[in-house]
Amino acid sequence: MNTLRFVAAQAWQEFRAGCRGPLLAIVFPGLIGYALIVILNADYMREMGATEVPRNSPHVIYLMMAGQAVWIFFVWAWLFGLNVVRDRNASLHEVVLSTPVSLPALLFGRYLGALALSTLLPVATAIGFWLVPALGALGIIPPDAVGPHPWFAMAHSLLLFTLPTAAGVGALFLCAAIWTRSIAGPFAVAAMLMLVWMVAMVVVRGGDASPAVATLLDASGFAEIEEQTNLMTPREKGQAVVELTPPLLVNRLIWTLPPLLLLAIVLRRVGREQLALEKAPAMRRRRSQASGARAKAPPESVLRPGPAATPSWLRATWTEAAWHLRLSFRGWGTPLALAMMVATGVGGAFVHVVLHADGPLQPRSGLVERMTIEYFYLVIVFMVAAFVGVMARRDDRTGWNEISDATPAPVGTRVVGRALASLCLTVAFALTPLAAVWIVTGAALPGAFSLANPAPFFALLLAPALLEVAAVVLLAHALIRHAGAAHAVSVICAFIIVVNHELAVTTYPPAEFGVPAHATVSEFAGWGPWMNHILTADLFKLAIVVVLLALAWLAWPRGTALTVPLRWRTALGRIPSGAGVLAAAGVVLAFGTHAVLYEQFVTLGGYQSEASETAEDAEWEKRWWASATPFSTAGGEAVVDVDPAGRTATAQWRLDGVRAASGLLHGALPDGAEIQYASVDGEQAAVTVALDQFSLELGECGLQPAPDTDEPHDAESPAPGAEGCTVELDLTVRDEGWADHGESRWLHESGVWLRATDVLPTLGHDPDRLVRAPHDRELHGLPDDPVAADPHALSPTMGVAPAGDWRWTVRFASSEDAEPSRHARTATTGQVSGPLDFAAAWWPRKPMEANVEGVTVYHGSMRSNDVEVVLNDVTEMRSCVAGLLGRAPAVGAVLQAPRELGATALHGDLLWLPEHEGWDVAAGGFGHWRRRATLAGAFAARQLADDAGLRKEPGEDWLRVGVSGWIGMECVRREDGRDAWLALHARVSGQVIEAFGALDAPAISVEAAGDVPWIRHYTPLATAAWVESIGPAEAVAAIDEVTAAVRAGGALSEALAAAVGEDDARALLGPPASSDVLVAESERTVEIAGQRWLWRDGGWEPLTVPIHVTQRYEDGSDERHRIGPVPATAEPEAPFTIIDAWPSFERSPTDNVWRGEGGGE
Amino acid sequence: MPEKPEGLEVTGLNKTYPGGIRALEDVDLTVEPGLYGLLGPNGAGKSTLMRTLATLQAPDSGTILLDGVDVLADPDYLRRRLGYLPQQIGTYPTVTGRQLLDRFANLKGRTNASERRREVAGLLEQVNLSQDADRAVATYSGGMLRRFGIAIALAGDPRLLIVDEPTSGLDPAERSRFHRVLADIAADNVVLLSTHIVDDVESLCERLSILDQGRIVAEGTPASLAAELEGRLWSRVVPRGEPLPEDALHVSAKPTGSLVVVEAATRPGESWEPQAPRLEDVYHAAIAHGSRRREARVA
Repeated sequence: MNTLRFVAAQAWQEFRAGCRGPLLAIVFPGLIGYALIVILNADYMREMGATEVPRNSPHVIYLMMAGQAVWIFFVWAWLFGLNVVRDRNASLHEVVLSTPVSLPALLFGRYLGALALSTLLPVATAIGFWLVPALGALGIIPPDAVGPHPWFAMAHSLLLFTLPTAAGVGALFLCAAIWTRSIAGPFAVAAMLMLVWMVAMVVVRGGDASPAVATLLDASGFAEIEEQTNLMTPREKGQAVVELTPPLLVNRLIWTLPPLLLLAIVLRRVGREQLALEKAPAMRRRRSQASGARAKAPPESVLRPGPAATPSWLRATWTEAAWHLRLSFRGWGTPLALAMMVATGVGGAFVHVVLHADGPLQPRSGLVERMTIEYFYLVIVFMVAAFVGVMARRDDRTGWNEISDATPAPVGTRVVGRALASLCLTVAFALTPLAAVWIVTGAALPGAFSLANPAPFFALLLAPALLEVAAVVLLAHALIRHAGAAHAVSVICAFIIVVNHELAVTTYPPAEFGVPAHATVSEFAGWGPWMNHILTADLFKLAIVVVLLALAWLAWPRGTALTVPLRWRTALGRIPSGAGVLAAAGVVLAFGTHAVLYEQFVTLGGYQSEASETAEDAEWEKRWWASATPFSTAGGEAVVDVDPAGRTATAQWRLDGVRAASGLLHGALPDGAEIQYASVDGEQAAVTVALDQFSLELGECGLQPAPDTDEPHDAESPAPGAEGCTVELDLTVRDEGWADHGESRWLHESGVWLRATDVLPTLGHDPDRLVRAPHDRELHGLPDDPVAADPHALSPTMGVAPAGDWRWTVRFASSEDAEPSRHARTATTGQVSGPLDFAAAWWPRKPMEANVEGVTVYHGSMRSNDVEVVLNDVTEMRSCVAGLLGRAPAVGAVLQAPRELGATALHGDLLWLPEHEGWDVAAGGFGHWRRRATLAGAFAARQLADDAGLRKEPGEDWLRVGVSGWIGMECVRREDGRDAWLALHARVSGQVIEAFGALDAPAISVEAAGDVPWIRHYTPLATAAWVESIGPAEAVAAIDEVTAAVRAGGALSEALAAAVGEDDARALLGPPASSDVLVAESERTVEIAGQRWLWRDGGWEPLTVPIHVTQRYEDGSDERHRIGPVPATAEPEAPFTIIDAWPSFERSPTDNVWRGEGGGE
Repeated sequence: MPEKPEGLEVTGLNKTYPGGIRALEDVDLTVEPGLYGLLGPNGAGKSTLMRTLATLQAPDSGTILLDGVDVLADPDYLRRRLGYLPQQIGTYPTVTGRQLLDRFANLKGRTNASERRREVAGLLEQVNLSQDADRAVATYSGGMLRRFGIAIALAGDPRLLIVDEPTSGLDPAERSRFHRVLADIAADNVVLLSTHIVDDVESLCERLSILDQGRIVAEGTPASLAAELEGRLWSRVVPRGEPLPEDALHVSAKPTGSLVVVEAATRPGESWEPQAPRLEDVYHAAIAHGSRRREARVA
């Protein structure tokens, strides 16, 4: 037989052997099932950016085929490892190695066989997608979600990603198997590859450090696919072809050729002796010497005790656990893994936190732990699956299981011993990142270093979730006798858990198996608001762990020649033993804790799945939207009493001069609110409440025609009844239950963070509750588009009641208790001439206070060093807004609000600055510019909303988000320079592109969009382009004209058209537009070129209109010129920036700049 | 009150695997304290019987009594008194002999740490592994691994020791050492030695059974079994090139040809010499008789 035929024969043998093994039988259906889970889950698809595209969109195929490589690495490791280990397992290795065949040819043939099988496995995913038309035909998925078969994408991804990756990493696995003569080597390589993948995806790419580096590091190619598809429009996704970009080409080459070269070298050098010998670990000399000493011990030491007396199996269990645990740390695997985790964690924390793209950030407690958990989670889950699997299979060697089974030790001793060791090892893995946090905090921010603060994140959030993973892995190994199959099932379980964590397929907290509980810990509140929640959730998870371990105990195989019926009978027979008791205890504990969790999350906390929320919104639209009629108020007074200890608040709200065209006053109740009493002109009035919306019958006093304006009435004007009704509402609000995804609570004994929207109903109809996605509208029987409501029927944009003369008072019960000096609070009274909005805070212990030029900053001791910079930012940005708009709202206080409790906003004169937006960034760099832009935007939004008495009418986002966003960026430009502005612009441009790649609903126009992510990023850039085209002074004049017209009762769209002309108004409020203007040096001139697109039917459509651009000089003159149509040339006289003179977002602002002679672009 | 019977008593043991292979067929055994041999060719069912006696698998029918206690009903009774060494044990990574022995001593009920330490030291001494106790088990030679296996089997001071093919692959010195260890243990306990190496049984066991195709085909002391063949065995060296007789009990190679042993009531021919029965002859005769009986039954 010639060599070629021999290699082919070996490859075929290996392929057949692989097909006969259990892996194919497990992995193939597993992958098909996984693909179907993905396809059937609309939320999951949405998370993958598959909105407005078929479920079998080519981009999904690319993502899936490459993305699954991460866990398939472990299956591949097994397959390639068998190339070496199969003979050894059958004790035939010496026979095979003594045959007169070429060893390199033998191994290479086997490598090819394993490669063929490895390439075949991911095809199962493609089979899942082939079923999509059938699912559509059966009505399981909407017919319009079925696209043509993505044949090309399947073949392309197989050839471009699966095959080269399998060839490359397969070569590494085989080399590792040859070196170690065991499966452990390939598994270690797989773990290493996943670690590198994790660094690439989470640290480098997630931290926006460098997409190209992420692409190079990622052996699967997934990073590049995600990078490319994230930037695709829905239409492009439907026809996606992943381009072979230079980084991707390099990636494919470096992950294929060098490993193959390495394999060639290893195959050339490998000797039969190397594969035939056992590899014995070297023992430490000192131990050997010690053993020698022991061997010479006095004779009595070798006198064996008699027969074992009544053994203590409990003690034996502990000893067994300790033995397994010691052994886990004895080899190089576990210590090396832990050391690498710490090293990676330190590096990751520096890149991902300190050098974050939105930073630099300060690695304080509350921020660094969450981010560390985020990027460690994936790798730890797989490590737990691997290490616990190894521990479960430790006796899986010839004869040892039989010896173990024949010992008198109860199965419980062996199972529980192993389980305890597994759980301890898992806890060690969970706590290891803690070391990274300590190191990073100690090095980067020594003042914030704390040994204790970070520990609960890992001990209380991460560890219990990982224990669930460990328990399910142990159960898999107890149930499945074949080690490879059990490892494969464990890895599949780990993969599903990771996917659930990343994409939140399951959102009901108790059902989030293996996912850490959610808690947002901030400096003031600390763990106080979370402890009950976390401890109960942990108890529930531990109960699940106990149940799984009990099942493992019941299922644990003992003996040989076991059949399924025999194992079943054995398991039933073990029920009366400790396993049954443990299972019963676990079930009881699980039910008990789940009852508490259900009550807290669902009954009190109002948890709903996304589908339920959409269904409720659809009901709300059907029930209430048609009754949206104009209303107005003159003002009034709100008095709120807060009892932090009781977590309740009561509010008495008097509204004067209430008028409504339909005679009904509508409003949306805040969470946990109930109207106790309502009166109109002193008479009790009927209130209808449904779906958190109420309507109050005003009677005749309110039936007068609604005015055309929200102009506040004179506060001194008497007899409000003469111009409308006086309405009094008594409410109670309970901030009960637990937030399902860790949202900070506003009312707790550890602190109160109250905004008007938390305690008072928001009057009017909220269009943000309308169902936007066409599929959801059709599903719930709603018309294609909601009926347009009168703008004066809608809720105010920033507050709870339309513009009026309002007074408010907040009283904190606890603050009047004993030791009042210990408590603290912000101002508790105020008045507003505009939409009613206010905020107040209360602390059980006094916070730090700083007062500079009449502005009081309430902050925690950890933020003392930041106060000066924050105050400076507030002052400068407020001045800038005043300079731009001619006015700016007063700022009386700055509040360090809890992390992720709302966004930066000015409520009355209190600046609400949450930790994550205002207090995590360092004093310089991009993050600092971003905070300054956010502050200026918040001041502008407050001013504009108050000036216009703005309600949530179509297009209000342009004024509230777009104009204020432009002001934010422009202020940074004025205060911090062009480069700061450019950095902000580039970042926001990227966010716009990403937002259009992940649409929840079709993007029709700015006017019709509502509060959606793309609006938040797009409108500031489009507004900036518009402002540049006409100049800031003219723009501000037009904005003033619009706010005045809206305040006077006009519709915003009409007011804008009147102020800026029909064309510009249509461009600002119409479909999203994009531009790409380019500045390039050419001999003695500068060439300017450009391209425009308009969003139509889910994609960017190129326009062929003449393009004019604005040239803004950066020489201090701030002079602007209109150039066009482009291509055109500009004289290189002074540095300038070019921006399209059309309301659109610039795709790549960094190439719009001319830095002057010698500066390049 | 009748005296409690001592030793192992197996009655009517049957085991058929799911594939239809009948591994044990009405096996009856009575094993008193001392060394008891179980001889049989490969595939005779020895390992199945050993595993069944070690409670690793359940028989389809039959009883097993240890010192009068039904151990199928109370397997833990037997496990608490059992030392078991399977036919093969592989290497165990990362761990030293002392650590592994300590672990199994714990699982065998030696849960008191100081007692366990003493027992481990004693066992290592007994099997002559004290010097290598802190070496990785993975570095042990085949003989050391078998001795280590017997140390594990002896942990907990078992009443019943079941050793399955313990000396296969051992060099003569290791085998001899192993025999001495077994003989020491058998002084007070029941030791069941399963093997296809006749010499092991011949030199060690007071009684033995011969198992073939799941059935006991002979049972007794080596001497009594040999006595049954007294005067019935004949041997001859058949030169190379001559055909071997079809009814040969067994044939072994000699420098000049093949030594053939046949069983016959009278001398088969001039060239045949009387052969003093040895256990090896007994073994082959029992197998041959068993085969003939089976053939007769089938006929």
